[in-house]
Amino acid sequence: MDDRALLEQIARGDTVALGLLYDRYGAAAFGLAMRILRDPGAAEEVVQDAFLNAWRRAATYRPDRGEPRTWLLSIVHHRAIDRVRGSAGQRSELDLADAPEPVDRADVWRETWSGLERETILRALAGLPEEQRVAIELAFFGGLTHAEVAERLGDPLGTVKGRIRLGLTKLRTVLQGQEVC
Amino acid sequence: MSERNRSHETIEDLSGVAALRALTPDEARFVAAHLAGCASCRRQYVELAAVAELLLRVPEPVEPPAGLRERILALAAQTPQEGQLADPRAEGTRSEADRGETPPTGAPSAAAPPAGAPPPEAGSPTTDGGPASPEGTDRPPAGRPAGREAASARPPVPLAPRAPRRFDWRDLGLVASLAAALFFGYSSLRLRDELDARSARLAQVEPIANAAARGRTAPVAGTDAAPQIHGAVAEIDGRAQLYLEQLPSPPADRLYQVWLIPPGGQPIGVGVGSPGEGGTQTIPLDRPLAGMRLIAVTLEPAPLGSEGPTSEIFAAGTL
Repeated sequence: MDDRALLEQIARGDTVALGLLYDRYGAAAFGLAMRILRDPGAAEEVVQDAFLNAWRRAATYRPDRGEPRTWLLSIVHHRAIDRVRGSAGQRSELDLADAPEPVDRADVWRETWSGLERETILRALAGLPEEQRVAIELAFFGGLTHAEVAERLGDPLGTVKGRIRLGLTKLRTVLQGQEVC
Repeated sequence: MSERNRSHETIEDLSGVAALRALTPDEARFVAAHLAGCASCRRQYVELAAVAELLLRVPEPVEPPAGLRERILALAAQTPQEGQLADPRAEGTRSEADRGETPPTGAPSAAAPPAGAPPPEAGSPTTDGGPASPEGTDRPPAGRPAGREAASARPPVPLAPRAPRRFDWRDLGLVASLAAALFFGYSSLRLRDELDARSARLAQVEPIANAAARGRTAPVAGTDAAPQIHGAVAEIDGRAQLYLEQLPSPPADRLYQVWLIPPGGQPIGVGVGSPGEGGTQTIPLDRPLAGMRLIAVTLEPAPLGSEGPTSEIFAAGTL
């Protein structure tokens, strides 16, 4: 059963399907939460919260907004970041899913990218200039705002914003190249 | 330079940070407002956000602690799901309770569908959720009690005798609600209709319905204090649950506490809960029903309840 069918089953109230989703992505979810929170107890709570959230909201999942895995890991990321920032329950950032309408090109890439190996993503990230990679990692896995990243690195705010954008754009270019090959 | 262009530049500048969710709340609102009306900035943002999605897979997978899977599944079985038929009256309070919880809702654009009105989806189990459906305001026991405000903000909606209602087939609560339905005069024909209408799920329903026959169930009814309450207690394989409908919303600092009373003994607190939408609540009980004579429900201080009952009894049943 593919992930979307699994999520459909979950939306029908099937806890067995929820167990299967956990078997597929529980370790990825826990790894992501651990990377951000660095505390097994807190990570466990965030993962539990995220899976129960997925359970409650499975019927609101929109296939055109990305893969179920991405949807689930996004919830984990949100929860973990909120926890780092002490802002649980407060929307502190834009949602990946907040784009008001699907953008075809991005969606196509999203679709093809979902098949990318994790190793490929790691290699592309490692291939970025150090200062771009560090800024991206501090923001995404450290839960820091860009102002906090700038403060941590001792760089001007504008520089950090630019590095993050350049780094993501470069990742995109590299990974698109990978995909075409 | 026009206001519009300056705005474009700022957004372009922030698009990478936005994609990584590293904006402050104020900046996020500013960016969202701009993206809602600007297709080119939106495209750029979505492209970078798609890259950020890939980063979610960067951390090394780590085997989660033993027991987490089981706990999630057990909690899910107790957690109502949100359906497609959102009650528009519920929207304000629900988004309040769920703020910041879930990526797929809360799009910033007025052009986007309202968060509480996702498009109907064929074959969903919850499209039959009528006004009396629990709408996910219940929190699992380990969660933050965020649903309480939402629940207490809304009075329960009276159940019309023929109003469509939703069963959670996977839940022991079904057993209790079946028992309640039979006891309180739902015709078996109507139950049959409901089962037939869900023929795809019959295979799952029947073992549970059979369990009702082999397990232990008893009706629970409202007292003079709240005569509209009805429900039942069910125990299958040693797990007991109390299922109640039409519970009045408790005051913010109170919740319902369930007591089991042995013959000639003192009441033993066995669980607490607060009704979700429609006043529906399933409360797992801490101990089996064996050796108990009565079950009773009182209103006690949140969040833990009391050592012994301090209010009048709102619902009770004989075991």
